[in-house]
Amino acid sequence: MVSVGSFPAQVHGLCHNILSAVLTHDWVITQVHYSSPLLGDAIAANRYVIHITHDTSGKHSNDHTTKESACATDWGYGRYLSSHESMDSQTKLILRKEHPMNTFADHDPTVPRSLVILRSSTNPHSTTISSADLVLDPVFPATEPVAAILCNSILGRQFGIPSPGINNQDWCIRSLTNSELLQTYSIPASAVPHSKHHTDFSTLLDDLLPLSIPWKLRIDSTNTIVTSTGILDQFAFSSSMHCNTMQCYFTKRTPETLDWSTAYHSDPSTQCIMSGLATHKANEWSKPELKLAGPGFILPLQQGRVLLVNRKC
Amino acid sequence: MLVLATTVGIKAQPPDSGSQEMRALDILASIDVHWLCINDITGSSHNWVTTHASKSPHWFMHNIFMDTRSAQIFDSMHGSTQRCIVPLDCIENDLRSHPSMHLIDIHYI
Repeated sequence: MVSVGSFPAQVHGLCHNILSAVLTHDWVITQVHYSSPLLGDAIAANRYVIHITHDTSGKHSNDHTTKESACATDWGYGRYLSSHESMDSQTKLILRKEHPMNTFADHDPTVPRSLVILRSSTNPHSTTISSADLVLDPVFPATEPVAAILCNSILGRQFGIPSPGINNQDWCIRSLTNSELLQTYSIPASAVPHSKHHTDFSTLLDDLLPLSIPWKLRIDSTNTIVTSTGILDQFAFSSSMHCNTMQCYFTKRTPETLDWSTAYHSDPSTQCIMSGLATHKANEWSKPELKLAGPGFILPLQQGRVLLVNRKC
Repeated sequence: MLVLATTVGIKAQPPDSGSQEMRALDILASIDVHWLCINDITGSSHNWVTTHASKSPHWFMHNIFMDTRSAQIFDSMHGSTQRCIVPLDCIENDLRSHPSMHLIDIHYI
């Protein structure tokens, strides 16, 4: 797992090249790029996942890079904000309220949107703007904590959150709490440690979270790996200690092929249903047909839930 | 259900002999999957195993971290008993001590 923002752009490619050079041809290397907002995380964290599997089929798969995506309905980090957090008196009255906010316009909903840039006094001559210099719209995803060298003198290593002021005329800003930050990585509030609001823990989160995996991204990437590689099937069919089996013996020859047509036609209910599906619509059944089909099939047949696919029902 | 079918040589007769063949089915009882996870800062894989993984295989997570600082977030969420610390220069020996490990998951180290 490679954090995109914490590495030079080519590092994941170097890892891929090195693995390709040192592994024999019967190992398959697959590199997938994941964008966490597309998977439901409220943090704009992109990750490369490189998975290496032993190809027992003998087929030599090509290396490839794909971009996974899934449907999410809410991309904003605002869903995790606590309304009880108070404003720091030194960090308010930054925005006029007429500043457009919470409007999608033409902005990509999976990309963070900045409302204002705060000049950092720690590095006033820098031409680089880090996400710690930004106040981000809560309707859009959050950004990860930045390196210490890029911190902002007001907001620290995290972006700013706009919140209505007391007089409802202006917007105040503040940083994320530790709990809110962890929740943007899809870590549920029940799993977030409570008495962890001190500065040391905040520094720890800022240092380590960019090297972590958002939980929904992890769920999606792991499900993809388990299903696409078929690793569980390989365990089940292996001859090692991976699985325990019970042996059952039988002495009757098993059929090499299954004669579905004869089996269907010899069963009165199935024969009736298949004939009906071949001659009329799936939900237009006469009473004699339903009676012949039998009580277990009446409701599914009337609802049209039984269909013919490849001459099987 | 996964079924592994194999023929066994118990008085196996040629098909044209008229006698019955004896075959065996190895019916799967369980799968044990041992997963070594290195530097999973927030325990995302641990979460997947406990809340999203199929319950059919038995998943055994072995969480290790390179240093205590990298493990602090994990400790605060899952407890320090769920992991161990293995320095980078000892990781190779540690890997060799787990011969039955099926999955090795290396995060940024």
